[in-house]
Amino acid sequence: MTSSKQLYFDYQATTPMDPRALALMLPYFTEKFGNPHSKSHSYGWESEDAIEAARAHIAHLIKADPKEIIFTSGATESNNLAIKGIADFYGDQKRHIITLSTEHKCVLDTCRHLEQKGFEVTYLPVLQNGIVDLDLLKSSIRADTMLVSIMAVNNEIGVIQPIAEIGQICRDRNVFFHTDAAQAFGKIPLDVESMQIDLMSISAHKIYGPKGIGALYVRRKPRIRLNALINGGGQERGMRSGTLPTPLCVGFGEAARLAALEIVDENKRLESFKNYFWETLSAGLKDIYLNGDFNNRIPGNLNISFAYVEGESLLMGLKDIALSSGSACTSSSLEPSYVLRALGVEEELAHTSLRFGFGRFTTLEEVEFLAKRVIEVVEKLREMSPLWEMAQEGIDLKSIEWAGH
Amino acid sequence: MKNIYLDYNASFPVKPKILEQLLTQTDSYGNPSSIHFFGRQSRQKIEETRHKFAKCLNVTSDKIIFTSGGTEANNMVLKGFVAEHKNKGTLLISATEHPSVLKTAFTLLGEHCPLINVKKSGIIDLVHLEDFLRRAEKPILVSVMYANNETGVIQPISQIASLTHQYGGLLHCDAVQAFGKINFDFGDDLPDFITFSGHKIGALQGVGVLFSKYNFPYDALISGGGQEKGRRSGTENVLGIESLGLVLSHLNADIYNCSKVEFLRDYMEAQLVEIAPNLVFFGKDAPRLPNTSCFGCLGLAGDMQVISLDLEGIAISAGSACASGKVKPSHVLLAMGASEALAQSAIRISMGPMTTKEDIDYFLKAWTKIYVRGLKDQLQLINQNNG
Amino acid sequence: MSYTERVIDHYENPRNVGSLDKNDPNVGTGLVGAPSCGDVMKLQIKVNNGVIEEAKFKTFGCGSAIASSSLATEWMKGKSLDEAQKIKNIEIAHYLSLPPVKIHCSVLAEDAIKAAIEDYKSKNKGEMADAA
Repeated sequence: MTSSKQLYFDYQATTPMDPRALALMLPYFTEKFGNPHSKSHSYGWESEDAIEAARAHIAHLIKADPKEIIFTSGATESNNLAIKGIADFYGDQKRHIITLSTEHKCVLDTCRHLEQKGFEVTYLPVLQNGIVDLDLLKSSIRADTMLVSIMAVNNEIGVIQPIAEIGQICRDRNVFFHTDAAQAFGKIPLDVESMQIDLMSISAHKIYGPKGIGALYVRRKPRIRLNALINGGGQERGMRSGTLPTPLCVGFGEAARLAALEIVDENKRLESFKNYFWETLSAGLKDIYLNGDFNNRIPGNLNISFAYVEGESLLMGLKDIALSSGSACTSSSLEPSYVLRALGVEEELAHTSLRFGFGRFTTLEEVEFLAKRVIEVVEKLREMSPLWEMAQEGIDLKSIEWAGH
Repeated sequence: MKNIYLDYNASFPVKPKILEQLLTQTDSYGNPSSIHFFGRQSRQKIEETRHKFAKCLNVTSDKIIFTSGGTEANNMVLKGFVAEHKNKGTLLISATEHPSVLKTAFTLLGEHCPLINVKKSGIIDLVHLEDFLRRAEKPILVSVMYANNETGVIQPISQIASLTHQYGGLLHCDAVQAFGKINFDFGDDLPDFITFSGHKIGALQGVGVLFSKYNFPYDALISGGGQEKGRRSGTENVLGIESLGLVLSHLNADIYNCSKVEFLRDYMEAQLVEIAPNLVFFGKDAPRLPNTSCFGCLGLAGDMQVISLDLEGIAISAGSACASGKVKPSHVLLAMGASEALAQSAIRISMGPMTTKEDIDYFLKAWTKIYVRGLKDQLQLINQNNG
Repeated sequence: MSYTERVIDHYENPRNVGSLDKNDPNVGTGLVGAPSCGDVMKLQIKVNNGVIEEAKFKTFGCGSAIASSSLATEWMKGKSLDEAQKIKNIEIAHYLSLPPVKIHCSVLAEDAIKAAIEDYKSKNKGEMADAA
C-alpha cells in the first residue's frame, strides 16, 4: 500500500478495500439498486441473487450452510446479537456465561450488560502466552452454564485459541459455543463442523471488504435459537431486521471468496515478513519482548514491548507510519492495554508496547523500512530514557521507590 | 422492452456523481477510532457529516447518532424506553407504523398491544391519541411516523408533538420515508427522537441516523468499543456516512425535484380513474408525499398486478418491500378501514426525480391491459356461473 | 491525536539531553514519576554561584513529557535558583499548548525542577548557610 502520507501497518484495526471487491460492488449502487426484499420485480430479485451468492462465499469459507449466515452491520453487532440473543432466549433456563478476560471490548461490555440483568459471568484469565487454560475452562463449566464465548484470534496480540478443543469441551458439556472470529475469518482455516462452533461473529472490513457489514453464523443442526436485537420486517430469518445493504453484502462476499483463494499464499508471505521483522529487531535491539505466543498466532500480527521506551513517544517518532499501541477502540485512552495486563505483562512494560500489523498490500521493502525506523527511534528514545540509563548502570528499577502520581 | 423503476420508496439508486466523489477519496480507509493519519481522515469525514446533518435540523452535532439504518434506530428508541422503565410506563404507536416499529412493539408488549387508530384518510385520530395520553401510565413514549411508506400519508407531527408533550410524554418520529422528499415542518416542538435512513435519499445503504433531543437516555442496543459516545458501538460505516454527507449538500434540490413529480402522480391518478372508475386511492384526502400513489382495485389481486407489470419491465410493489413476498393484506390499509379484499388488491407506485411522463404513459398502457384482461376473466366467470 | 509545533520541535530536537555527575556537589538531581504510570523524568542542574549554568534531562514518557522536560531545562539555564523555583507548570503547558489530558506532563516537569533544586540545596546546606 503506497500513500504519500504514511505507511500502513495497522491491519488489525481495519484494512483498505481490495479493489477487486470494490469493483464488484459498484453496479449495485447505481444500476442494480433494487431493494433485495422487494420480491415482486426483477430489480429486487437481482439484488437478492447477488446477496445469496455473497452469503454462499462467506459460508464456504467456514464450511457452513449459507442458510446459517445472518448478515449484520458488523462484528460488534454480531457479538451483541449472539450473546444477548442467546441470553434472552435461554435465560430462564440457564444463567451463567464464560468468557475470556482478553476478549474484544464489545464482548466484555455485552457481558457486563448481562451481569446487570442478573446473569453470572466468569471472566477466565489466560496463560502467559495469551492462550486459554483448557483445564480451567473445563472446571469453570457449571450445570447452569449456558454459553462459552471465546475469541478465535485476539485483536491486540494475534494469538490463536484452540477453538476445536474448546468446541469439543462445550459439546461434551452441552453448552453453546460462540466465537468472535473478527480477526480470524479469512486468516486461519475455520470449520464450524469439525470445530463444533455454534455461533461465530465475522467482520468484512478486517478482510479487505467494506465497513458497515458483518455476519453471524448461527448453527441450524441442532438448531440454535436467538432473540433478535433488531426487530422489523423479519429479514434474515427474523434474527436481524432491516434492509440489507446489497453493495456491502456483495463486497463482503467477494472479499471472502478472495480470502479463500489466497489464504495459503498470503499467510506464507506474511509469515516471512513476521520472521524477518522479529529477527531484525531482535538482532538490533536488546530488551524487547514479544507479547503472546510466537507460533500460535496469525502471521500478520506482532505485538512487541520495547522496555524503557514509552509507547506513545515511540508512535510519535514513527509518525510517518500508521501503527497503534493496541485496540483502535481504546487508542485515545492513556491506560495500558487490559489484554497485555491479562498476560501478566507488568504495567511499566505494557506502556512500552506497539502492535504491528501486516496485510495483503504490505511489501517487503515496507517491512524493511519499518524495521530500520523502529530500531532508530527506539535507540534515540533510549538515549533519552532515564530508565535505560539506570538499567545500563545495573540499577534494579524495582528497588527504587517511585513517587507515583 | 423498457425498464421502468417505480419503486423509489423501497430503495433509491445512488447518484453516480456521489459514487464518483466517494471513489476518488483513497485515504479514508482507516478505522475512525485509530489515532494515526488514516484514522483521523475517516473520523473527520464522519464528523463533517454529523455537523451537516445537525445543521439541517438546526440542532447541535452531539444530538446526532449514526446507526446501521432506520430499523436499528427505531429499535434503539423503543427497546431502550421499555428496558429503562421495565414494566412501568406506556408505549403508544399508531396502527400504520413501519414493521420496524410495529413488530418491535409486538415483541416488547405482545401482539395485542394497543394501537392509536387512524382515520379513513390515514391521518392519526388525535382524539383517540389524547384519550390514550390522558389515561396512560407515565412515562409515555409515542411513536408516529412522519410519512407512511405505503400510502405516503403525512401526519400532522407538530400537532402530535405538542399534544404528546402537553401530557408529559416523549415523541419518537420515524421520518425515514419523508426525508429528502418534503421539507420537514416540526414547528417549534421538535420530537424527542427522529429516525432517518440514508438509502431512501440516494446515499449508500447501511446508514441510518437517530436524532435524540437529549443525551440519548437509554441503554445502547449494541454495546462495545464505545463509538458514538457509547450510544452505538461498532466500527462506523465510514463510506456510507460520507455518502450521506454528500447527499445532504443537495438536499434542497432533491426535495424540489421530488415536488416536481407531484403533477405526474396527479396526472397518473386522473388517467387511472378514467380507465377504472371504481379505483380507490388510499390517503388521497390527506396530505401525501408527492411521489407516492397507492390504490386498490377490487377483483385484481395486488401480487398478480405486480408480476404482470414486472413482465412488462415495470418495477412496483404491493405494500411495503419488507412485507412483500408474504400475501398478507397490508396492515396499513386495513387500519384505514379497507376490506381485506380491497387491501389484497392494492399496489404502490413511487416515483423518483428521474421519472418521466413517458414512463407513466407506458405504465398506464400496461396497467390498462391487465385491467381489461381482469374484466374479461370476471365476465367469463360470471358467464360460466350463469351457464 | 495531533501535537502542536512546539511539542514536535522539542520532541524531534530535544535540548539538553544527557546526564551530569550526580556525585558532583554542584549538581542537583530530581527524579520524578513512575514507570508504571508511563512517565519518569530525570532533571539535573549544575549550579555556580547560585546560578544554574547547566541543565540536563532524560525522560521516559510521551512526546509531551519529553517536550515539557526539554523546555524546562531551557528555561532554567542562566536563572538563579530562586528564579527557577518560580517556573510554574501552567507556563509550560501554555507555551506548549498541551491538551487537558497532557497537563500532567507539565506538572511532572515542575515537580522535577523543584526536586532538582531541593536536591542541590540539601547537598549544600552548610555552604548556603555560610553564604547567608
